[in-house]
Amino acid sequence: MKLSFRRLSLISPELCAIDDLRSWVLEQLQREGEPLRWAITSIQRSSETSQVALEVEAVLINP
Amino acid sequence: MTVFAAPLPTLMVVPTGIGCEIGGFAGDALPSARLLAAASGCLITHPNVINGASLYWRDPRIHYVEGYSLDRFAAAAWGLRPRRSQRIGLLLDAGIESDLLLRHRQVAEGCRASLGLDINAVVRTDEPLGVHLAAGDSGTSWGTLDRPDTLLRAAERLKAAGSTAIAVVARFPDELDTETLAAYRHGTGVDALAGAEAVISHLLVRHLQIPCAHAPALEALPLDVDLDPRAAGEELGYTFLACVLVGLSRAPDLLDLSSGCSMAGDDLVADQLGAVVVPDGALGGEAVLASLERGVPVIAVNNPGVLSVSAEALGCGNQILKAGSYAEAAGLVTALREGIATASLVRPLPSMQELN
Repeated sequence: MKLSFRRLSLISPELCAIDDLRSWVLEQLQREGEPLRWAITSIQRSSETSQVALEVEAVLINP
Repeated sequence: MTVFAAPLPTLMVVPTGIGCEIGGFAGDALPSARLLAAASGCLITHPNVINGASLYWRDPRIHYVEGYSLDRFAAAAWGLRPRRSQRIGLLLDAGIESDLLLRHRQVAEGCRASLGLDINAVVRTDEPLGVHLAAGDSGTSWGTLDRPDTLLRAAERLKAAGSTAIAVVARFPDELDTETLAAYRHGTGVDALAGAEAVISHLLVRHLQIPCAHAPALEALPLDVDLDPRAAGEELGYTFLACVLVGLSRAPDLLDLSSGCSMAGDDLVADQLGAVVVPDGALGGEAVLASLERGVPVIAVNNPGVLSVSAEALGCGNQILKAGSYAEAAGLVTALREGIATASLVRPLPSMQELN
């Protein structure tokens, strides 16, 4: 088992409701490893579209 | 004041390692936690909020739940079962020097002799854990381990020996000369150790599904005449272990709700949550997002840290109750507990919405 600290820059899909945000972030993290601890640490909303730029910091587990 | 309403299970989160003015130091959110426990009658919170190294406070209304299990609880994956006591196993990093190791063993013996805690076994890891500290671009503290497997092997031995909770002590890098440490001790910086501590306890809880919490082993620091009172709890002794042992001694059991386990009358599940109280810039954690999904009232408290993940940034401003202080948050929790519409407490009071 290996632990790694990662920072991911993500663009959320348009109209990603707050109810769907956690599962969407988890899905993105799971592409890199198993999330052990994570948080959204920054959010920037576009003034022209409904897209949202997220920064997520996480510690991931990999085999 | 006589409170007539039933307890309102309330989750209090002050994320670890984000430098909050209240809760970013040595258990300095404990007075706020005690207030929220009095207001709610049932407060679920995590070690970062109430661990004050040599300082601790026991309140039967406060449930001590490590962060990984807190997230699982908020997501309705795990439940909590209150316990009269836990049998604690002490897990010590092989990287701790012999004198410092003895200090930790003596704290545990002291807690057995003077507090009546049930500490049944002690084990050392077969190799040093190799703790590394990290800082995110956000300014929050994180960390990793070189040898997570050795941590888990030692914890499995304790569980096999009958321990129902685990206090782990890992050797952390001494940071005597860093600006970060000086800023923290003077009340202006982020706790650089806290993020790595959370990773260690998260890993153990994920693996064993029993209560676990962490104390770092460090060399004693030189006296600092400008020490901030919020950091003073960590300067009273040689270890940070006593609060962890006390917290774990009555931590609730963790129930995997997907396992079909039978539920008891005083078990706590996410459906019972009546409120979540969190710093207003720290809404991007898993427990808060899960609570927003589930429609639990979230009270965002003015408690500045290094993050700015606010209700407005998340686009959910209308779902959040705002409080200028923990005293105000306690008032909102009391209102929710008593079934008083919080909108009725402020002016102007908008007219009712007319449906077409």
